[in-house]
Amino acid sequence: MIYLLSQILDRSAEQFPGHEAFRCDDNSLTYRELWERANGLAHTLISMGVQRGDRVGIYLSKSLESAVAIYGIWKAGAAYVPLDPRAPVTRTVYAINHCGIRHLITQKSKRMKLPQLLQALKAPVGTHPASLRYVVGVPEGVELPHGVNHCSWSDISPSGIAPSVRILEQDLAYIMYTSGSTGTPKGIMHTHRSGLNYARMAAHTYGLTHDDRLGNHSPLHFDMSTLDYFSGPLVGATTVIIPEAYTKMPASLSQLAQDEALTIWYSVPFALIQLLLRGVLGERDLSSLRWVLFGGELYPAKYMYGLMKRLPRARFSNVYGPAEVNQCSYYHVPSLTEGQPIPDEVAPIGQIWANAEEIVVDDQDNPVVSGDVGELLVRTPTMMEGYWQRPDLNVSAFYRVEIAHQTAVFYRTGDLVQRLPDGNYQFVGRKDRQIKMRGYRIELDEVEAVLIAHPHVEEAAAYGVPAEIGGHQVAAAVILKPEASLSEAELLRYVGERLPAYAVPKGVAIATTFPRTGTGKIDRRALQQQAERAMGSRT
Amino acid sequence: MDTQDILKQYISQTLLNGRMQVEADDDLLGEEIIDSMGVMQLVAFVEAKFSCDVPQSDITITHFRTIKAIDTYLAKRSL
Repeated sequence: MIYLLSQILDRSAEQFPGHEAFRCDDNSLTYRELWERANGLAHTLISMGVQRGDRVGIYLSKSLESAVAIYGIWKAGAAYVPLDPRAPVTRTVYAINHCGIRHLITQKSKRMKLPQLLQALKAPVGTHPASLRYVVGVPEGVELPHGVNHCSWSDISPSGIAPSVRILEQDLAYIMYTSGSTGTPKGIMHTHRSGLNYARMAAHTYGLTHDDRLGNHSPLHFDMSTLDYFSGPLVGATTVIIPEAYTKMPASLSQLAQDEALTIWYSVPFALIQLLLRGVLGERDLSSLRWVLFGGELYPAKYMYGLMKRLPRARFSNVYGPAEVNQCSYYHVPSLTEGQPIPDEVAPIGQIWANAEEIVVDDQDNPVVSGDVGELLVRTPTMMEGYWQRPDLNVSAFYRVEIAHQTAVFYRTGDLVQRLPDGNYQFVGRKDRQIKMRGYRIELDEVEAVLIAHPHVEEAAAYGVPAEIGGHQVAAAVILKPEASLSEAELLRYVGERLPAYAVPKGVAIATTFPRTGTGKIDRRALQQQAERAMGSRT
Repeated sequence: MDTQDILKQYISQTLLNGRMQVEADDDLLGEEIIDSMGVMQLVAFVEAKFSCDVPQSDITITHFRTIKAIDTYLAKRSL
């Protein structure tokens, strides 16, 4: 019986010992090798004091070690916390201290940033004391602070013996940090149960088998990576980890997809748009691709149908679900018939998965009439436990209702949807001020909170403006304190040290006044329209 | 200024807003330096500054991973 995510690997190592589990940059690990390396890491972590329920940080570039780390951490009974390797140090420090990470797994490729991170961890700011005690995979030449122990990857021997750690499906499996509207990230907690339910549901829905080759485009801290790391191994498939550099070079990316004979692709639309526009697909043979899954943000119809025409053998599906529920719907995009014009509308998010239940409600939590716009609430066995140590959010994020003398718990997605006559849901917008940039969630309130925190800033407004290729990007305006002087470049640098690159505004206008609403509040809509007009006049 | 210095200055000052000084050997495409938007800006800059046309099929890891690689690529083209 399988009830833990780590048992995925135990079973596949038995069934497919010599089959490649993960590949990256021409290196690979078979299921047996991965199993032995994960056992080895687990023994090491346990000897370093890792206990059931502990949070272990993963600070790695995309590599085979990512897979070893995830399964090794689980085998030690702990939960993994993927830290964005691109995030500013202050943000990584926040996550490490917020969820009390005592053990961190890293590698040589992080040697540039590691000293700065360790230095910052020595002098913690805020309410959380520094928690880090052990670092695995420290590159040579990086000095550790006093009291922090370490070992290198070469110290860890593969082991044919699995550690004997008893945990259950309700134990914590991973925490992913995402943008929070109050200015600090929030940690989405998933258990072995919710993660495994997702792995199974996705493998079933997309008919994954051990013959499949999944292209892992998403980084570990992005929830889409769970298909590649959980569902692929569940069926004994091969996951090809795509190194960061390829994701920025569409012509190299398409070459890799061809050379690795990928069968399953799952990414944000941005990557697919890049492939279509710059991937020289005319010179490539991607006929092995059988399914292209995309999600995380809107995929403009002209680019979607454009790529479908280029890849006629692949099915295309829009996948929907906030990281809090993993995934809860999909929509299979029908191919255009001969001569049919390209529709303007983006693909619907489809129908809610068979294992989930949805309601669409108005502002008072009353169900709307079918076909009216409302917020989507979902209850599903793939849903998170809650946010790590955020009792406030854990009240507001859920809708609890009595059904048959029991409490049913729905997650409030914050997404406004509309049911179409054919039963599919269409995404219409957000209830709050969250925007998406290449699939990454950005809370505009968080961007404002960071700007306001600058000692010379009196007032700040952040808003979304359309990006060149679909989606949105952040723009902002500030009013400085009297007699303060600050340049846009200085302000952008300040923000860049506190927010991930995708959330840093493309520009900050230094203003003397803001448009106001009747009640004196900043009229962000007017600011946004001004910015859009300014963009329009340039093109 | 030679090609490498021009590229160093553009990437450090414009793309990175002065956050970091890049060296000729740094992996521009790793996590720390430029993102996919930055790559497009860099290519546009190279085309404008060195008056050349970079075809999509040339925008690859081989040619753009480091400042040195871009330099080599541009030198080969002008032969």
